[in-house]
Amino acid sequence: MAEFYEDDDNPSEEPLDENLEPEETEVTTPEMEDVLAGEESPSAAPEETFDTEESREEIEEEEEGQEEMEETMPREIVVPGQVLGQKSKDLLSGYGTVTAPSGIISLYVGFLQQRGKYLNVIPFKGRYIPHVGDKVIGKIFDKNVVLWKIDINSPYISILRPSDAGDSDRGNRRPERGGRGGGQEVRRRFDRGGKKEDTSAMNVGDIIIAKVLRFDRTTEPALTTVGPDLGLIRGGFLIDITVPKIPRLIGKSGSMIKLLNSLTTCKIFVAQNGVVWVKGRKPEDERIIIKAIRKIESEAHTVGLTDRVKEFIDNELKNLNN
Amino acid sequence: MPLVPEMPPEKIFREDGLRLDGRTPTQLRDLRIEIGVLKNADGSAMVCHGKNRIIAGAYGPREVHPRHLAESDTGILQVQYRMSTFSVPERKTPAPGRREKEISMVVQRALEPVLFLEQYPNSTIDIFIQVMTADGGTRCASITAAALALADMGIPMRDLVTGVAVGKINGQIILDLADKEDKWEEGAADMPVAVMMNEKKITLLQLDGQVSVDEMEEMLNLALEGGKQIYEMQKEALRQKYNSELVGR
Amino acid sequence: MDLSISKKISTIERDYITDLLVHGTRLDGRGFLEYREIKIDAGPMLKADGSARVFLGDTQACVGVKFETGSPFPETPNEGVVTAMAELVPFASPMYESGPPDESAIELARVVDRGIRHSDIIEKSRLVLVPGEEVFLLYVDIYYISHNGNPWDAASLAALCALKSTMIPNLENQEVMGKKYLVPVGDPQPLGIEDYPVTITFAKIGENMIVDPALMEELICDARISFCINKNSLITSMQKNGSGTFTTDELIKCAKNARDLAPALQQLAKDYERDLTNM
Repeated sequence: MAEFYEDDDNPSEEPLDENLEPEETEVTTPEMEDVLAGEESPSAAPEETFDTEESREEIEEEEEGQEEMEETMPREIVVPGQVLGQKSKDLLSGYGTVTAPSGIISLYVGFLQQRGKYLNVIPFKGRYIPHVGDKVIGKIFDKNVVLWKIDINSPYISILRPSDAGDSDRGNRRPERGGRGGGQEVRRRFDRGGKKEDTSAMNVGDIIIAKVLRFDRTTEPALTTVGPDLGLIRGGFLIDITVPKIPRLIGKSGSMIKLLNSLTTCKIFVAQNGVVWVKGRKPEDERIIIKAIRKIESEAHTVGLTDRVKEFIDNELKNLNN
Repeated sequence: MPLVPEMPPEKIFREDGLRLDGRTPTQLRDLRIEIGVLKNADGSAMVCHGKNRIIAGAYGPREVHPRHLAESDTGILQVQYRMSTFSVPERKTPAPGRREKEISMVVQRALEPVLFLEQYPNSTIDIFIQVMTADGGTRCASITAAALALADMGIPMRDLVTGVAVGKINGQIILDLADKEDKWEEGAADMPVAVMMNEKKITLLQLDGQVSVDEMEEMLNLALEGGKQIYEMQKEALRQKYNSELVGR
Repeated sequence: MDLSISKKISTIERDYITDLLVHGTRLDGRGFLEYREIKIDAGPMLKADGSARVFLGDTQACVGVKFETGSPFPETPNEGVVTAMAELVPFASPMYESGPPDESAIELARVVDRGIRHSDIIEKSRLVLVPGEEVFLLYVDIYYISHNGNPWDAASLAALCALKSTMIPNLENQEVMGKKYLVPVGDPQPLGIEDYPVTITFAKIGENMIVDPALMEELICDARISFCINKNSLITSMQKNGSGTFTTDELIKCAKNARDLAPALQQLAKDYERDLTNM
């Protein structure tokens, strides 16, 4: 099968410039959308070139503007069963809460938040529940002749059928340079023409970026890899982060993810199911980014995180060069 | 030739009227809680209640194994309560006995009411409780630990669940029986209770021994009073875990 | 990824780890002959006759020792009985299911058992009460609490430390309430273990040999070998696992490395012992 991704060891190839971020970065669940919209609304990050100096300046400017919007006040941590307030015409039960005889109570351990009339609780942890349209990273853990079974880090095992698995007639095309979705070199296309109806194209252990096609509570989620930026991926490394931390990893208007992308040769793709794919040109860079992501996850609720992450990465890079 | 068995104490109250460990009749043993003690579990907690040392670890929602236990319209809650061989003075055989299976079931019933299992059809929430040291009231302390593990997991819960035992020794009603008190036979009763403290809903109630209706009422009230203290500590432990993360590195 | 669904590591992760090894580093940045951070304490086993809890990185093993009395084995009438049992507590890993001990649990018990047995760790007569009739039965019970790779070294070290901390009573025949019993007289005494057998495990990934495999390394390795080394730098037991193979050169190199790595682990056991006497 033809390999359509570039040889990372060949320095004459053009830099990785494809967009590794999801098209829509609405990582919120439908119920949480309103809740998080005003606060941390990750938006699709533009494509970037590898001119790191420029990008770094741009990011620094943006950061100053955003600093004031960042968390300056410690928020109250609430627990399940805790009464948050009494329901009235001015106070209603929002996300993560429920109205009980004793009042509006929290359903989770999380941050209390008030948006207009709504009391919301943002949980600290949670497993990924699939929503149609989400971009997810999954591992093929089983297959039979007619479908692949995909682990998407969720209570629900997903399925992918060959008919939803990418256009076979994209076959032999070399990837275009530039433009959105131009860096197809890390995506593999299936077969060389002629439809493949069976599952020989991908194997157990392979990792895919897919979209949730269908899901309701009575049938398992169905995925699709039809679409730009979807399909089999190779190289790089995977990290799991808990779903509620995704917005922090992306940052306001993508600020955090842009920072990470700009400071090293790495590209980071954050999928809605809490799986992060890191791919860089140098393994040392990948290691630093992996550490940075773990740091972001464990300090997600702290103040001034973006600065500390920048400092952390700068230090690590300095140590590398010594 | 067998080893000499441990003899029960001669008296169950001290000369000064206090209990053998120095407590008053309505006093709880020391309680220490740690949240998130297991790295791999989705949620976990360790409860140190008196000499009890109990670890609860929870996974889920996840696929049900074996598959035939899955229910298509709701999730299920599976609890496994086990005592380590060295948790008691005389080594306990590793294989689970009837008592452990009974407690597993009782803990499961005590926790189910706070969960929204219907949100997770075809899935299971698994809770594993391992008693590392047992010293009376393990089923109650296990419920306390398991509820914390569930909260730590991030699934929605109507409330926490708090386990607390009350009883009677020599006719005196007491709170939170230690092992020796549990085993005392004269004028004795043992009543484990589990409660959703916000609305005072009882999710577990058992009785060993004989009590009058008045005594039962008194014991229930004492259980709620004692349980409230444990409940506050549960909540505080959960907040503290995330508070320490707020401080940052 | 959710390891409760499948223990198969993804190709990305496998390739990444293998590639790092080819370049001389491991996933967590350790050297090939470097152990993760180890901490040992008594653990939450207050009613055990001896106990230890070992943290090996994020791997955690608790061992409690309990004694009973009973008849010796017919073949060894003048020896006590020491048995190891292991349970992989289901909350230790999303891969574990509840149920009776499976092959991994049994293997873990046997690795630890071999280490204790062949090291002549306990002087044989120490556990005899009445030769041929009554001996001490020592149960070394391992509860594996958190799985992040290499249960064998963690459990062995915990078992060694637990035995070091074990106190057994002097027992005498006495009549109590009309029946004959064995009754403790005086203070309990330690077992008097002189040796420090430790287990050192290597994993082979491709051509690379790494000590103390972490979870992902363990899941992708082709084969493993464990050595038990005593205080005199002698190998007292070996165990190979996995479907891959070792060359004789590789084995000898591992054996030498095991011999060289053992003193550091043994020192940890000595420190634990010293802390016991200070309490």
